Amino acid sequence: MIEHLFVLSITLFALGALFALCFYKWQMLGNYLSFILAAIASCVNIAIAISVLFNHTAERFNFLLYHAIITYSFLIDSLSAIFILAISVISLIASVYSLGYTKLYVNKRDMRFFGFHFNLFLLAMILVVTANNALVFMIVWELMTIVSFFLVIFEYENPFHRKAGFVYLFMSYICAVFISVAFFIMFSYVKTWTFDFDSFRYAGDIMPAISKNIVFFLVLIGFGIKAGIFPLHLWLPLAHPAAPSNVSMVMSGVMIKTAIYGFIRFYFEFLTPSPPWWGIIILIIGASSAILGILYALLEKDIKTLLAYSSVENIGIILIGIGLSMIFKSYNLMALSSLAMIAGLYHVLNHAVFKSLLFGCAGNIYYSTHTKNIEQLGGLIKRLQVTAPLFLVAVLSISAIPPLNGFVSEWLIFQSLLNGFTIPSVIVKVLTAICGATVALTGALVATCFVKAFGISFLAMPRSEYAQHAREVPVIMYVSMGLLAGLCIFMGLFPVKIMTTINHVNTELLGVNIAHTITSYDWLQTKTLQTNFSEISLKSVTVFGLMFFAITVGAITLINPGFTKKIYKTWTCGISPEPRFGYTATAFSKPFRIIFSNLYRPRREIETTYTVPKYFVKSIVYIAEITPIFEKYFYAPLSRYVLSISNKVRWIHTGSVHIYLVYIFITLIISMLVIGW
Amino acid sequence: MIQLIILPILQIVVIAGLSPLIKGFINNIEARFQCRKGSSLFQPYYNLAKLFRKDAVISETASWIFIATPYVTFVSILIIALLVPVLSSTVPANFTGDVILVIYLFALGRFFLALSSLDTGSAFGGMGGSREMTISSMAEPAMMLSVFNVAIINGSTNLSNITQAMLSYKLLSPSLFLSLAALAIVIIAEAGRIPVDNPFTHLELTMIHEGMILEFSGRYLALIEWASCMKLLILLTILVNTFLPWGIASGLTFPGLIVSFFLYIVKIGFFAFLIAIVESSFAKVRLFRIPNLLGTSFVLAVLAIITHYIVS
Amino acid sequence: MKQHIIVNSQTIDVLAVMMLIATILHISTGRLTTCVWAYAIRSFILACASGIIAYLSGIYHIFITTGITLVIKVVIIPWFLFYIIKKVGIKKEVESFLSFTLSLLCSCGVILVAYYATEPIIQFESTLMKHCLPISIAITLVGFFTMITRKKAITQILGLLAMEDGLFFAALSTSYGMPLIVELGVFFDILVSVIIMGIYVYRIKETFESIDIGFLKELRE
Repeated sequence: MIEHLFVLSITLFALGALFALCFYKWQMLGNYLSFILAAIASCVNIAIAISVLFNHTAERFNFLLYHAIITYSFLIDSLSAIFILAISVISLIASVYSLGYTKLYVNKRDMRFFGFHFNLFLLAMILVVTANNALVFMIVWELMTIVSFFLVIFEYENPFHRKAGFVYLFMSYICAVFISVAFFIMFSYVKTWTFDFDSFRYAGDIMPAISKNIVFFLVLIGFGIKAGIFPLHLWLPLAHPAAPSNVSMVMSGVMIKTAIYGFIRFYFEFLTPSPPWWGIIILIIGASSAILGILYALLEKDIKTLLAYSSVENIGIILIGIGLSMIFKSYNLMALSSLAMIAGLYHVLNHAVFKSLLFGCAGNIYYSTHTKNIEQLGGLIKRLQVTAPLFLVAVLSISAIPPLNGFVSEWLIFQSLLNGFTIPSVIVKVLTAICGATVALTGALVATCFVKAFGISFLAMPRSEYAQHAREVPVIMYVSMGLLAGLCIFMGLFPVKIMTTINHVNTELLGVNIAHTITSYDWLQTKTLQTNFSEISLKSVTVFGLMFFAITVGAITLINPGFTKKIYKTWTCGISPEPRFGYTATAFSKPFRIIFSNLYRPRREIETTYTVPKYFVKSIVYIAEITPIFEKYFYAPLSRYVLSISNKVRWIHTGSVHIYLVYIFITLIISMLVIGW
Repeated sequence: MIQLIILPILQIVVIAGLSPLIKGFINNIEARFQCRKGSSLFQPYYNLAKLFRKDAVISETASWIFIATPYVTFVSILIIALLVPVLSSTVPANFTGDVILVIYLFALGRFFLALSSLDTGSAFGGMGGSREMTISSMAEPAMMLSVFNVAIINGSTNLSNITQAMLSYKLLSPSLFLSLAALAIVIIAEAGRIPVDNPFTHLELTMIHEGMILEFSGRYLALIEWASCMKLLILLTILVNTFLPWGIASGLTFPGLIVSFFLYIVKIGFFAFLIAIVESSFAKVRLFRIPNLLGTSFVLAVLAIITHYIVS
Repeated sequence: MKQHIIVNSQTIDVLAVMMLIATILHISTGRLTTCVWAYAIRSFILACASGIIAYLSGIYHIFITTGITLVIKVVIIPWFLFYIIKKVGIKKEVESFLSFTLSLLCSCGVILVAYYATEPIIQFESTLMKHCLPISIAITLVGFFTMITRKKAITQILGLLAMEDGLFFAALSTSYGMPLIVELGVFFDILVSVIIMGIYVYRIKETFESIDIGFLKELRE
């Protein structure tokens, strides 16, 4: 049954891709068809995921195509199912959203390849998380990279977009190299020619410690690039602003999560048992990604770049959960390991939901104003009346404000960090506490960052013509986003359902079932998890909140029934208010630029021109920039070095076909000799 | 059963009812330090009553966020008042949430205040919002670490459980003492008192919290003012009932509650007096010196955790 | 055997922590006068601690030490330092090679080192020592650290005094003080050295129009 559904969804995606290609004249029709098919396929996948999660049965199926060496084998266990669920929900919504968003490009550019790549991209992600064979995994992984590359450079006339695309492609290839080397090292120990994941599952027992450590680092860098951890995040803030918003929705919402999937597969299945320091490294990387990601997001003015940096931060928080789970596991505290894993995976789902919603809102803003620079916006709350509350929900939930979903995973992360005191090693204990402080700082900075993002773009007065004349987007766009906003609220109010679902993963992966200990009645708690920690119930918070609200409103109305509001201009020291009086994004984040000046290394230039020198100022030009230290001190020297090496070996390239054939021939002979030897 | 209904109501009544008095008390003491007679202890009540009866002026630039903010702020503080042990260490609403929720509910109110400060499009509001968010971000790590320490020592993050566990201590352990010091600094920053923020200032450029609420008037201002009084009292209550809970009732018996109420008044009064002393003897520090102060608090909190882990 | 008296009192621990807080205040403040106040407060807590130790352990010569501490460290030295600050007309700001946040974090690290290094010892010792030994070593190290990073001569004196406090407290808490005669000698030394340094500060100021000891480099030629 599941197998048929799976084939059905693949077929639907493929058909969708083809439809988009077929229609030359009615391109939009083709695209609509392909988006609708993608949406249906996503629904099918949701059904698959839910049925696997609730029947506790891992589905495996092999497709034998005509070359026998690779079995196209797929496995849907609960871990895959969780990721399929996230991917499909976001795919569904992104497809519906695209129905409206692509109107932006009607008659402006050739849309055929968009639908084609979009469907293949969604398909590739599903295949990545289900592949059960190293070769198949690498093939679909590459497919995912290539089609997403084409989506990133969709508006290829813009040189920045091309640059972003190439950086992305280049880094993705490095990532693929690292992962394949990791697979090969493992293969050299297990020696099963099918390259099946099933054979790798015992690799950890066979491999010597040193090669396990090498594989650990290879995987860390490989998947780390895709996930966008610091300092490998370089491509994220370039690619997300370049891609169309519906694509960034999927890329940031779920594509970078496939790397998290990779981490979990490798570290919890292939390379077990792991030493504690692996988890510690992941924890430290997670914490530093979180803090650095949000610090850069804070100063960003381009809303999509801001969201991209915020993805780096969220990946950091997810990795804190995963790393903590690894640490607990290596100290054999399985229940806590399971709790931390739930925290991490919960954040995976949450981030998928609210980040897609945020990118959707960024798309709405771009759709109606044609700008992504929040300095140019303002006052949109009165013009985009539906988008504004949606954006507010997203902003609140990413800032972990109760009772929305972001808070639940933040709370779970805090609880798992608190449980760090059960670890025997003092240094690790202190580390978990410091990580707690980091997460707290990150949380507060996220709130600041998104107060800025919402406040500057939606509130006050419009700062430009675009913002002045903004109009609400097509209905289909905000309806699809409304679903996501609903999910944000649902996952906040009813976390137990989600947690018990995630718990199935733990039962398979870690062999512990903590479902009955994390939930009591219907509110959340971690009460019996070795420590008597805490319980919360966001549902009751909401109920109490609504009750108090009703009482407050009632009481206030009783005190002064004849209350009137006078509408008047904002007080601006006696002058009539103008848009330029309002605070700007640069000004709002200025305190952070000063406090963290060691990190940002800001550069500012003020140029004043006078009509009468020194007294009457004509204009002031103010330039403030920050130095991206990673680009400047890590990537720039690296690329210089690579370029100089390439210059030295340039003589190999003669341009003659014969010489190239000689190279291939020699390589072939040598490799045959090596194999024979 | 009746306890489950009476205690939460009692908590809210005490917090909401006493909070303006604490403000009046601090103001009065400060006036006396400055050799003035000072306004009546009940002046904040008169102010609130007056504001509630007045009409409001709203900026034409403002949106529904501006109207929603006072209610969100006020309601979020009321929910916190449910979760904090005030007179009795039993808190019926304990299942609703823990101290992490409390911290994030404060964040909810602050989030909306900062948004509404940008809403009117005046420069002062934005300045206040930006500064408030900065200071609270800097305060957060120290706050969370000291809370972590207390939670780990007492085995719970729910405030009521913490208070119950603390009752068995005869004297603060060194680690808790460090947490207390760290939390005290954070509370000054969170409540917006000198040396972090000056609640009496009327010079726009030095305002933080007052800058944010500059455009509010009438009942909206009243709600926000009341909420900020309650915030100060709740922060002090958390400090008192977490670190010095001795004498608090552990159930709902009438004499116990009376004793506990008087002790509570005395303890809160003591800390309010300390705040008045600090406010009279220090000047507001420069904005970019505040991270130093909060950094000190962070270091204290780290040391608290370390001493707990290494020594015990 | 007087060495084996175990004073089991959490009060001493809390006082030790208060001394640590005063030391952190010393690092984190930007004003010279506050630094001196921090020193006076710390010395006062030290005197209290030594008084309590004397009372609990019944070694009465510690009372003498307590008295001398009160007189010299709480009254005379702070008064003298205030006098110097006033007399020389020093600007009130503390100047440092490191930023405040950085020096705070560094001293936090130093304190961690102190705890980490003493961890093996305190596992086997009496409860009294549990906090006292690491904290006294931490105070000594932080004093050393301020001497390295601070620019003004007065802050050098304060650093030295912090080191002396730390050592004194270490001796007090681990072995109930040194013999009386040694302690008297140390007190006298400290008093004399503070006075001599105070006079030096005055002379440096007169010669270089500043008390930044960086100017002492000019004496090389």
